[in-house]
Amino acid sequence: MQNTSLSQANPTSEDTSKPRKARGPKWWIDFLVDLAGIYLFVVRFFKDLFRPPYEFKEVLNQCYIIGYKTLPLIAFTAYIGGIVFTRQSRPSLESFGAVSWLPSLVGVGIIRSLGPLIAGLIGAGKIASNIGAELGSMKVTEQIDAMEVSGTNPFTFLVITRVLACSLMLPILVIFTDILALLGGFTNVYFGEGVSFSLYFSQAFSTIEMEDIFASTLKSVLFGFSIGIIGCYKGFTSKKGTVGVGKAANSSVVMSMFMVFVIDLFTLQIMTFIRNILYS
Amino acid sequence: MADTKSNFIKPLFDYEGRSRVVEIEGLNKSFGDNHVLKNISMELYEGENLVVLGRSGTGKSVLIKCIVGLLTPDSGKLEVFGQQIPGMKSYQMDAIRKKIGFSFQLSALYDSMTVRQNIEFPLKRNVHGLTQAEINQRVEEALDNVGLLYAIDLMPVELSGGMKKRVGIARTLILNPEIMLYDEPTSGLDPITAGEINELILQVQEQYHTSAIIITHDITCARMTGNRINFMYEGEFVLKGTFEELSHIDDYRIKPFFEYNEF
Repeated sequence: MQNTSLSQANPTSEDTSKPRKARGPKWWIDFLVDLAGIYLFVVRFFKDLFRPPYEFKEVLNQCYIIGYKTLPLIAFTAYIGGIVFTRQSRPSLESFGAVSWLPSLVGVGIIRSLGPLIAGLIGAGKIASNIGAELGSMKVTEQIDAMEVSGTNPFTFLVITRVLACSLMLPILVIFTDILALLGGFTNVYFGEGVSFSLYFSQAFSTIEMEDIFASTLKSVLFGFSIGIIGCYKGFTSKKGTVGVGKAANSSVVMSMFMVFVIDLFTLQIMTFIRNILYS
Repeated sequence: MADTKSNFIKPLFDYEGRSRVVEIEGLNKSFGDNHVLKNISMELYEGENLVVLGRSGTGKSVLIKCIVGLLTPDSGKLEVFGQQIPGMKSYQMDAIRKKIGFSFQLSALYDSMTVRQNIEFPLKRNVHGLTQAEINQRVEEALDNVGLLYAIDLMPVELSGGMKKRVGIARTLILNPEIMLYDEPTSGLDPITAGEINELILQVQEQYHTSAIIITHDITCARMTGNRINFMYEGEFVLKGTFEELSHIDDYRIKPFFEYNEF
């Protein structure tokens, strides 16, 4: 540039900006928008999953945060849940004189349903809210933009790592939940009937089949995936400052819990269908 | 907006033989009915500091977010290093972004990482084949250049506003950018710290030979750091010139900036 010129524009230029009407969208429009957004998020996840760079170290870090740090809460809840479940099942069996079936009932109930559900719901409460709030806060403080402008794909670093870690850690958390809930059941049975440890566990596992283990694992992977995706989606799309971060955390929990029950029902249907094919 | 040659004053910065690193013509950007950028035209020359001055909410930050591809303009030409930014593929955009440093208004430090990890982050992901010793050396050098080597193992929450700005600038400098974009570099800082940040911007220009766009509403920052100033008013560049030139213009839109800073 040879010259720097001093210029003045027409000060009477028309201002085209108009105040927008405040129209609150219906909740179902928000819901449909969320569904579409989550669908696109899932599509992008699978598209970017095998694309380098691979953030293995961050996946391990997230596994530690999501898995290890959730363990005490899950362990405590599962142990208490096991005691309560066994205690409340006892009167029903007593009325039929079938208290000896208590370990089998507890085993089936915990491994098929209660264990994954406890892990899924605790995961939805603790992990999804954590992810939603963390990414939401990163979004409103422009940390995600900072990552993007530094030539790093924030989706790879933030979303793929967290969703992978959730999907890997939930099955492990479910195994811990099952063990701790069964121990809770054992505590109750031991003080009630004086049943030995080996007899309790041999009876508890006697009615468990391979399909139950498969269904439980499938369920827990799906729980983990949905918790990770929903938490990340809500965090990534949060708006309006700190209020938006709170909303992101809150709606992550609500939606994840809802999805845990939907997936539970879905896998039950799938497993019933598979069992019918296998044993027909 | 037509340039008035009658008002021409020779700038202090020597533009002879310098190429344009950013070129914008007729740029428009709206959010719904809100027309934020209106027919913006500007250019940034190699090695110069261009200040975009204006009140808050006039669209200054939107402009630099368009330049770095965080926002997509509705229409107009926007070229960085001769390449049109809108419509660029993501891998091409990433290549351009490696040459651009963006200093955010709130610093945007990753608050789950230490200062060292913040600065390492772009380096590890964009420069391959470096040993840990080389990474450490470059991180320490970048922090030393902003005078914060002692804060290397602190967390962002332990830093003051001015320190955060410096670390943010160090993080962008680690990749040796050719263009720096500063979004309100002195906002929220006391006058002394703001002055230090202004000096840092000049030091970066000299030491790293960067071209820079500095978004600000701070007239002291504009005076200290800018070779040229584009004054933005309601999404339009209404005045352009050096600080000296603008300070003598009798215009109701820019005059308050100078009047409020007179003692």
